[in-house]
Amino acid sequence: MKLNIRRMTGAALLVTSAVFANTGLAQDFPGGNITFTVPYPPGGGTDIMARLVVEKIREQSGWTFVVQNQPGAGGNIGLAQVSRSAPNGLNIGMGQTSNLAVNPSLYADIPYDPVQDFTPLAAVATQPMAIITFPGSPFTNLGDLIEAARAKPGSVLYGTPGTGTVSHLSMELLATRAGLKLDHVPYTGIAQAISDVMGGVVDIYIGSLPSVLPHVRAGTVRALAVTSPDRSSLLPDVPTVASFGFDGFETADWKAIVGPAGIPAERVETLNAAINAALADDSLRAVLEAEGSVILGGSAEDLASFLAEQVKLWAEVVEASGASVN
Amino acid sequence: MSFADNLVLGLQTALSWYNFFWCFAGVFLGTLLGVIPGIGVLAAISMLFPLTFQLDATAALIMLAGIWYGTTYGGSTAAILLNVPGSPANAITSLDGYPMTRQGRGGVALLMTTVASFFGGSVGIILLMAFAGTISSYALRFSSAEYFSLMLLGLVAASNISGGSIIKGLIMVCLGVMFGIVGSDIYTGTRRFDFGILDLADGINLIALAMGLFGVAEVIASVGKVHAQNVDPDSVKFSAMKPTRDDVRRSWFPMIRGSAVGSFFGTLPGTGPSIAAFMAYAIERRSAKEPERFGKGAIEGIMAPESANNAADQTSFIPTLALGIPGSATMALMLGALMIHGIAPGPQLMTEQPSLFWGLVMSFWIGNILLLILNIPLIGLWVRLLMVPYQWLFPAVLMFICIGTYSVNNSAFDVLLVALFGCLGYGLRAFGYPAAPMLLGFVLGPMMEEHFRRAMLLSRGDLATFIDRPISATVLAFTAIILLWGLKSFILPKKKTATPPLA
Repeated sequence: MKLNIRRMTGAALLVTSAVFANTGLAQDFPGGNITFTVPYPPGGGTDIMARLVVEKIREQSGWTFVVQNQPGAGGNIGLAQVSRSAPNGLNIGMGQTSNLAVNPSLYADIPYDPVQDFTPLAAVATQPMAIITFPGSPFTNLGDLIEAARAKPGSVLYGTPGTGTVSHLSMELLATRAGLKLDHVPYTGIAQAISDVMGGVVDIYIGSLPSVLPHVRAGTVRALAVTSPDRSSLLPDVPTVASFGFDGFETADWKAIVGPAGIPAERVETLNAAINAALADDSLRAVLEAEGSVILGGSAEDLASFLAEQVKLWAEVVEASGASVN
Repeated sequence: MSFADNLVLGLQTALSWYNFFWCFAGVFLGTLLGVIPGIGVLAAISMLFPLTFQLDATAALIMLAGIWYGTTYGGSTAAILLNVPGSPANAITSLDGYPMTRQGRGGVALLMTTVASFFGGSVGIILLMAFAGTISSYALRFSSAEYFSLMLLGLVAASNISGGSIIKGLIMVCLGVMFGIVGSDIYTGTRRFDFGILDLADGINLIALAMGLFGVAEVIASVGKVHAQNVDPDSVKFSAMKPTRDDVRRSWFPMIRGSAVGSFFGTLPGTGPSIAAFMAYAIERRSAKEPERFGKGAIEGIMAPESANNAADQTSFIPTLALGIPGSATMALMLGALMIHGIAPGPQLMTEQPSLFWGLVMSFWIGNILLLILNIPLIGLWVRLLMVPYQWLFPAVLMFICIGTYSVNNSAFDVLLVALFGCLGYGLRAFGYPAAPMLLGFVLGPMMEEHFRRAMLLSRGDLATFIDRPISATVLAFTAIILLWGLKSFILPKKKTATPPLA
């Protein structure tokens, strides 16, 4: 069955791809199709970013990719699959904050170790979270909100795209640092949540910037703050969470390309160079930046140390917030 | 720009050769994949998603949308002819569609459902064109309390959807709810009833459950039972497709009611064609003068759900395009296709991208007309499928079910689930337990839980929220009336005249 699907996808790729000049980043690599696992369903944020990057690499290098969506268990199933595949550089995938850094602290039975079971290849991009509210909300800025929550603990309801998501834990981190008690209302993604924010059913909502940006721009919701250390160039009027007296506050939904542990160094280098070359492309940058992402790139070593840091950071957040699963 | 200008702009866009070609490609592939059991719309669109990189945004969306509503057109074919629904949204059509086939009226059923699909689709498009703004603003008033009340109404109204024993129907609804509970609790993240299997962390796959219960179970049940299919060669002739005057007379109102129900559920994010089809069928059955005809080849039983699911297909674009709120995974995929082209989907889409919006809407007309032209001549071909010996046909059906289920999540585990639910479905069928209420419980149960608990969080534990909110209160009142009406005929001795039975 697996073969059938592979063949079908392969055929589809053959039919759809125009032939591009092979600029040849390495002589003998890849020497076959590169299977690129996306641990989320097609059409979501991670999927779109993965496909855009992969398409650019293909265009620049002539390599053939088979993008395979393997959703489930918050991205854990797909990444576990990557960690178990052959470390020849032909099996790679897109991980992100939750499955590489958060879930290992949150879930007891995660089938991989985020640091030991993967070869980091390159960071791709990062997206801040944004806190939004309805246009007629009594909260004109984050300060109002914190005051209101202090004055009457538990009076503020905040929506998130789900329990244990980066958005949820970001808000819990803020609550811990501000000494607040906020009540959590988890949704399953943005659809119903945004409708409830617009209608004022829930006081505030926190989600990734790309997911809320169109609604902020349309004026149907109002952004109170972003979780990046600097303001987003797309919303220059919206202050950072840090600027309300939370020095160093920073949470982000970053995405990075990884492979199974043990990929030979020269292949890591080849792949890293190809990813960075794609990320240097102006048209790709333009699309990603327009939706609210900040391009990262950098060496594989950079990503390795960043990953180690993030695993530690989120372990602390998870512990401080008291959130845990099982 | 005036409405007329928009229509002209839309037609110009949709009728350009390039867009017309992709519209045709979309509906053709959609209807073909719809006929094949198991390959659902999500799998089909996911597979063709990479293609959208090579197209411009309008053409990409026109093609993906074509697959979306094309699949629903085609999905009734296998449900009617083989009792194997093409997708969960067509499962209910098999209840009366398959008996029609056994009576040699498969051609009539296919022709009439094509008409019903076109009718429902047209109603949906008209609503989308004229009232997208108004409808989307009322959809915003639906929060979790309203959703819960609506799901409750659905469960009560459709509890005896398959007829037969009420107790058995209720047992199956409960069983469906129980299967629906498997997976992560969305409020705490705790995994429930997953036996430590990571593949069950997100719950049981709907496609796996539906295809197992309806598709695989039917294949098993047919083994050894059916000799050479007793298809009268005359029944595949074009003349055999001609509906009787009685068929046509009986079809009008179910089609109108089905389109209304479908349009309503389509506009609500989170519900969709499957629930719409179930509700439309339940309403027909409840309002029928002779409910005992249902399940035995009543034409109302195929017209209502097929017009409902196609209307829902079209109106589900209302929240997606007018508000940027995708109502389902498939709609999220469509918005994803826009994002790939650097177009931010959102409330401003209609004004910022008028040629895309109106081009897409007008392409729905072209697509629906194409589907009508495409499907009617094909009916003769599909009916001939029945003449293929079962030893060739059913292994092929099984293979397609496996491929279709696998391709939803690229998960081999889901294929195992199909086999499991196939066996369960066969066992239940052997003891006369109907599968449709189980599917209903499976779809509605988890949604009821999600919305009940969220409504409680939002109201801080105050149950009065269900009555304080006017829409929710109205829906609950309807639910109470239906319950009382059912109880009345249950308790009071039946008169000889047509007192509506509890069904």
